[in-house]
Amino acid sequence: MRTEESRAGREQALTRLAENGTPAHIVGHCKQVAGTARRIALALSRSGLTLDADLVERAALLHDMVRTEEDHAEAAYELLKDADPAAAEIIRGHMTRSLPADVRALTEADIVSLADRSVLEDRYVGYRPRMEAIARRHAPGSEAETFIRARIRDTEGLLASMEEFLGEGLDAVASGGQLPVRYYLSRVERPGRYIGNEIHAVKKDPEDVAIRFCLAFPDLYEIGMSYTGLQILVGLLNERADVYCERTFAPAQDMEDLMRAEGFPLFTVDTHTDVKRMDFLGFTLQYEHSYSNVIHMLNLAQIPVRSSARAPAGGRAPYPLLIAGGPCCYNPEPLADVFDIILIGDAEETLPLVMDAYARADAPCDTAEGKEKFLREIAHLPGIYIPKFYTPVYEDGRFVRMDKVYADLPDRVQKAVVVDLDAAYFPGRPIVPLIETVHGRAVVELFRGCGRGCRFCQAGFVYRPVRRRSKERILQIIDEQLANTGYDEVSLLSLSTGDYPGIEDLTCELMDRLTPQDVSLSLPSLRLDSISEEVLARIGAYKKSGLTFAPEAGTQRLRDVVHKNITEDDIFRSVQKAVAIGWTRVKFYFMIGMPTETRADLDGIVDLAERVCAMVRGMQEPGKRNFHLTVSVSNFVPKPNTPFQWARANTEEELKEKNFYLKDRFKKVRGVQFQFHDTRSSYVETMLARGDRRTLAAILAAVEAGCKFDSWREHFRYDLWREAFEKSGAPANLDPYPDTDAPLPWDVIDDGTDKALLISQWNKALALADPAPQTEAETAPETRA
Amino acid sequence: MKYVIRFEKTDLMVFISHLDLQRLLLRALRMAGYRPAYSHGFNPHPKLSIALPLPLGFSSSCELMEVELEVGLPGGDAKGARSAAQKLNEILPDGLNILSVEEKDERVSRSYSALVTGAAYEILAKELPDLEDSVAVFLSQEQILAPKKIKKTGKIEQVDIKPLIQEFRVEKKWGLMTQFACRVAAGAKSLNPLTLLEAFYAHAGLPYNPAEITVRRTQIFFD
Ligand code: SF4
Repeated sequence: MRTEESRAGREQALTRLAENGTPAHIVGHCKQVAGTARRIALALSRSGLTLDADLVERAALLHDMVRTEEDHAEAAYELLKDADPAAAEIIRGHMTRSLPADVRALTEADIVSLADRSVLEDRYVGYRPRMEAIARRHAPGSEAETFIRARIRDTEGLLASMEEFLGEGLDAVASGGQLPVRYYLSRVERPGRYIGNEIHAVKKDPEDVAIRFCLAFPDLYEIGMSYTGLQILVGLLNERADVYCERTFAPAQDMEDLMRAEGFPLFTVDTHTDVKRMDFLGFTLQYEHSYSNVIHMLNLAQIPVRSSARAPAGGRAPYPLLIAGGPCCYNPEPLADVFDIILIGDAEETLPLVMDAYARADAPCDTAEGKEKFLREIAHLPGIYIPKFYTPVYEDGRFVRMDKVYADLPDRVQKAVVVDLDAAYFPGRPIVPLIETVHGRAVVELFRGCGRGCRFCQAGFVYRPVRRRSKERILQIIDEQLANTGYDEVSLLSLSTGDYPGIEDLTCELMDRLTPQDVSLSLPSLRLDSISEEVLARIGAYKKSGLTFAPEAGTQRLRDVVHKNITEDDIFRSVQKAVAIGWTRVKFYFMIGMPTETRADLDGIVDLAERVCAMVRGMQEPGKRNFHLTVSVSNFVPKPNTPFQWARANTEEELKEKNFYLKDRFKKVRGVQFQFHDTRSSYVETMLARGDRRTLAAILAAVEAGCKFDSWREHFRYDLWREAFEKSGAPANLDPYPDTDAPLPWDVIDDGTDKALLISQWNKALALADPAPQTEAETAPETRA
Repeated sequence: MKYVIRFEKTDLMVFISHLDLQRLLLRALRMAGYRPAYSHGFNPHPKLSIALPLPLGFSSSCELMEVELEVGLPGGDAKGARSAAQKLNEILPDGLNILSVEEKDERVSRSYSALVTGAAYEILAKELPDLEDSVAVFLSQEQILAPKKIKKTGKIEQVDIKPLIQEFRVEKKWGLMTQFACRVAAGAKSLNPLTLLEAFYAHAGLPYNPAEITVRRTQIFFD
């Protein structure tokens, strides 16, 4: 931690540079030399030498202050000798000093010289490369060249003794893990992705904190920065004085190519520090399709993928602790061998506890014993799963049980739950990206969880119970965010927004408040049936976007199977209401491939759309018909921790056939636009979602083959994924657990819902299967011409 | 009420594009509590414009933006303007620095972007041999040809850039660096200073590596 005096000394030196009119590029060089020299001095002091790091820093900051002068070292000495004699003395000799052969003889002046000779302009390049470059500037065999080469040789001994003394590479110490990313930014597209420096991005001196944390989002900056969870966690961690939380994202292809060509690893956007130098690297796992990017980013970071390969060595932790959180962690098994710590449930609850324990233990991961002790300690906290303490056992290729490494560990890891959303942290000063992102808008979460209990919906089950934020707090957050961001749009976030008690009241009040501020309101996932006519009319007048509605299934029978509490009546009434007050665009969401589905259910989708259109036609005068219905169909993916986790997944071929069947039928329906999702992508999602620890082999093989950015249509490679599963021998998890009594790999996670409840819901669903024997055409649909 | 805001763009902010910068400045104004006026019509946009777009990667000490506010600055005249500059600087990230906020001179009826005629740049390049002579020879050519992408066809053609060069010389040597000064046409007819530099390097037989060159805009000239 810096002293006040140290801070003041640095400030004063910087002021001197500014007052002297030293040009920007020279100031940049001085700052880099100062940082380098300070880091070397501090590291040597920690290892037992007595060195004044503040003096080193001051002298280095001012060493080229008057670079424009003939003999600049002497000139700077003259300028400074009264104000800061010690620094002046160092600067006087910095050009000509020869370095001692042994680390123990190093003085502050030597360190400044060494740092100066390791820095090219404003980049740390290392002593040898820098000196070699100088030597090459002179004619081979010339006096100057011979002199420089002799100097390089003379210093070999010192560098070796420094590394021995420090117990690690000098480059790592001297550069502080800072990479010359900036130098490459003019060569990539949208360089603003990699510079941090946004409004409200917190800047801290790494020296001032005990813990350096890097949050990693496994996709591009533009995607990651639009994700509220990331903003919550960065804000929450940076509120702590003992943590500096930075961010990293998957680099775009051009940056990745540069990183590989130039040999620099994954870096934080905030300080361009090598992520390997962090204490923690935390990934957020939002969707299965980001698994490949997690591995891809670890490869770029030059961090071994398996936690077992990241043991402490030589009294140091060479890699950060890898930590994961997010909804995918409810089945943590596919990436369990990668992460040291997996957070189950609301990370706002668990992360601070992990930080506390880490800070208390003081660098616990420098030794194998310390790391084990630390992980054991936190393994007892709710919401924390330490995968290496749990060993899955397979018999005949099937998962049979989970063995614990220590008897005192919990059998099942309970999820952590934020009880009071009003008291929970929510950013009022979110980071405002400098470049355009997916969503540049103020966001507030209305409530967490969903009370509807649709049987396919993982979010509906794992985010239980429903916790609601008060209207007062919501309005307060929005006010704060708007004042602090200048955004002109507000978005309300939650699973089924229309279910917020008092949603009408809230939206009306918001519209009243926002309109005079030139701010618009966007309402995702509003369900027609829960909104009154009056509010609909107001929203309609306010924003002429479409309304959405999710019946999910085409027949009442299948809607009952999935437990979607919407009747046909609801649908018709709501559409009628909306059209009557002038809405013209409506979108229906359906899902295909669900358990017990038959051809009749598919026909039901078409039928429903047709009848809705017919009803609207009846309402509108001929010639004035302007109603557009979009039918969007997605593919069912069985998810862990839902009643449908036991369901058979449709094969890719089945899904494709159903989509084409619907597409064909909708061709003949006027006024309806039909959309469907990539079946191959859903199929791979299924294989990953119900994975176990053997799945990692397939993920690694896929990444090896080139898979990454799987959620991007243009990057997704179905062929490579299929091959990876086949080659690695990992089970494809398509028809895995027909027997509800059999243990599941993710049973080790207790998401708060009783397994017995899931089983009874599953059985209820199955009991609603169409009793009529399926006709030949239904089970084996005709091949398409 | 129309205002003219002068600012610097340096450090990491040189990597923020023209459009992103406009959006950022708009947000900063709103955060500071000012209400930029919007145009009327189907797709209203804020009345805010930057006089001369700065190419990505260049820094500048002389950027100029015009903005119309719904309500004039509180405190009126000079004092309100000073505190506005201060307020904006507290909001803006490092690398964007507001130099001044002034009411726009009512006699200037057109927008500044319509009045730009040229701009001066300072170019810092890696150490080069003595170049004074080569510069003189380069400039004395009858024509100075450089590749230019023709907007309509997308084709690259050789065009004569000599009429667009108002000044080009070696200004200083900084040990390892050579500093050029140049002044080129901007506005209706414009020339990117790097196009000029690349043409010069080609003429002088020097290897051209844009990664080793930094450019700073130092002045914009108006009609
Ligand atoms: S599908 Fe929507 S309504 Fe149903 S449980 Fe999930 S979030 Fe709730």
